[in-house]
Amino acid sequence: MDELPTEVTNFLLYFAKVIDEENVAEIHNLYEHGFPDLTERFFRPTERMWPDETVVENIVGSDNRLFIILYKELYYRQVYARNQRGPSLNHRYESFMNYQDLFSEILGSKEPLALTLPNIWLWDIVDEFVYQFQAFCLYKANPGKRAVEEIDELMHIEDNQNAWNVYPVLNILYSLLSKSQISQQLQMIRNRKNADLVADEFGQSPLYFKLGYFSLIGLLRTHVLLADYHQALKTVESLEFDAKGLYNTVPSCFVTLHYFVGFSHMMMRNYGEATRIFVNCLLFIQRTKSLQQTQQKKNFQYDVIGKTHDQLFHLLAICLSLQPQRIDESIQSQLIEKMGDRLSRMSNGEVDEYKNAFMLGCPKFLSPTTVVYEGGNQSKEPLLRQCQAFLDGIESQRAVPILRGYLKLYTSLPTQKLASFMDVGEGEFDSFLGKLLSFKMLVSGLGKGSADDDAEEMESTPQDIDFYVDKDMICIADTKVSRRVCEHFVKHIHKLIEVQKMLKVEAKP
Amino acid sequence: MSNFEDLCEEIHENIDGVNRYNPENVTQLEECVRAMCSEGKYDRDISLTILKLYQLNPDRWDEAVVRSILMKTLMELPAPDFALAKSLIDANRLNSAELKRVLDLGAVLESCNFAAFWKLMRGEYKPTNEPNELFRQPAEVSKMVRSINGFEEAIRVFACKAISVTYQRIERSTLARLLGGATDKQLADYATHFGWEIQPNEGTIFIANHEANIKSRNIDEKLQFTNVLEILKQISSQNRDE
Repeated sequence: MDELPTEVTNFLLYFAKVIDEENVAEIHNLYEHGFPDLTERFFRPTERMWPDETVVENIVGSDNRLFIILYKELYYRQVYARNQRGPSLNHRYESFMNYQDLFSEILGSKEPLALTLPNIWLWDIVDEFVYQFQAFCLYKANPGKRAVEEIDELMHIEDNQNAWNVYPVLNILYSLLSKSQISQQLQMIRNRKNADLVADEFGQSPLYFKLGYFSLIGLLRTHVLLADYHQALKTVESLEFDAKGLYNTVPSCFVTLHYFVGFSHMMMRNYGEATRIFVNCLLFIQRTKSLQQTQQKKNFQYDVIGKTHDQLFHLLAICLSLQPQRIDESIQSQLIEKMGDRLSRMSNGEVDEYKNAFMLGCPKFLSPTTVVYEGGNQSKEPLLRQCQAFLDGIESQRAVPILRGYLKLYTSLPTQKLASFMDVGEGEFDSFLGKLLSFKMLVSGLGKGSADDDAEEMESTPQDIDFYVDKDMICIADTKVSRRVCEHFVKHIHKLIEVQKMLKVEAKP
Repeated sequence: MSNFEDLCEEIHENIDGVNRYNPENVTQLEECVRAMCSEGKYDRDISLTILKLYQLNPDRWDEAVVRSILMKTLMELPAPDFALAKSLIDANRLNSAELKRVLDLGAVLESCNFAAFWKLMRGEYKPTNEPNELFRQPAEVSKMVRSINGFEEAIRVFACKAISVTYQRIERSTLARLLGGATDKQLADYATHFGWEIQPNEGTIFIANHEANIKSRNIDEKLQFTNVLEILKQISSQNRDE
């Protein structure tokens, strides 16, 4: 075996030391820069892998159990990220066992563990844990991903349900919530009260508080992957969307939270709310883009933010074609640039277009109970199921964009006349009225349970069109937004002043 | 025999936190669903929890319970409970003709096609020969609906809610049709309940004054002084320089 470079040995010793000293600034530095830099220099994916635990034990001492667990967490993450076809079953199993060790150190401790990790690492632990659970479910359902000799072992694991089973996974996440009393604490914070009143020594420890907080978002994601949208939103209801929230400190956490909350609203057909959340997330990505790119590449990590960025546009297209509203202009123009054609086909009510956008925008759903030992790949089944459930909903709203197209042309229109435009047959008139009713239900947000959606909210995101029916006459009101000429000029005047300044500097001898 | 409220209270304690996923709760939850149907009650958490448990423990699956839950969630329209419940059902379960019937009925109601619903209930529905015809045996649908306490009434209330947000005035005959041939007495009751006003001379019912709220608007760009402040500052400083 090749000798480990001295720099790596020294790095590991130093890493263990700063973790032991709880020097969070330095841990953060090593986690975000030191480790990826060494990966790039000595452990490029096709060349060699970071040393395994026995080597590391020899360097830092086998009694440094916590460091070795944390190191292995990073090690397996590399294993997952490097293998295009996914890691071996053995690695998956070992990684789960390591998570179990890590969480039992944290949850089983008699007093709060003396460990301080930067926010991003804590988030990455929870996020990776959920990701590997998801990856295992997809692996179980797809025989094509498996080597022949792994089958017996997989049967064994499934019989004993001892790795990546949905129950222990949920159990760990829920235990992190209850250990930290996070929901109760957030409730207090929300009411501007002292959270310490409802927290014991664990809840008051930043390690537990933060892990609990990130677990809420990990659980949100898990619920969505299992198609439980109501429970997903309930999980994060105590979590306030505000600039002080912990999620702001980790960009991938911000994006994950927004994506899954927005997606849940969309599946509950609350398109207005989903749009608002998607747009906020896109604006955030836009603001922080330059920061992200360099970091991701170094670590050979999966580009979560970049991938989510594309998905968000697909989902946004769906929401806006069902319920148009005015959104931020820069996002609007990017949306039109990326999928103008798709948008117009959607507004013609083409179901296939909704389907494509959904498939490209949705998360990878799972079935935690599906194991296929031989035969076809069934890992896509849950996704197809959710797509169908979504399209069933679209079916009832498919007429909406078409109705909207007609209504936009008039200020008043007799129902009979609209029915004749839409080729409504004899005896089908009442069914046609049903279409109007369902359009209006969508526009008015009836049944969306967003009671706190007060008038002010409506003011800021005006519907492009609204209507009511008076006997047999449809009366239409539309909202015209004039072009933002001033904004344009102000922007360009600023630019001009900048240019003038530059010219002056250049002109000086 | 304990009633729904007692059962409900007990079970909510049992399904808190991670215990929501305890398969041992299935029996108790199923009992609760039956009580829900017989007593005309509803609880969203109980309904969704049991579907979740069926998803995680496929051997416990009981289709009759699932059908009852789906029918109960339809009675909650326009709330999204039906869509939520449906998402929790795996694809391989959907081959059952009886389950499919509930889902198809759901599609009709979700699109506010009250006309089709009442036709089904009155036995006037004529299935077409189209391959996508949903109800080849319309009589089965009405049988299914009548087996659930208060289903038709729940749909009338749903229709009233949809009408309330859509109409300013509605022809009495149109309203009666959308409510499945409601009698004068029924119409008067709904009018009281939803705050509508019957206008006997015009043959219409006044629903709500939407005219006052739904108006065309033009949103003009407003230029705040603060937006140009920076520019003015810079220009004045430039002038000073020169």
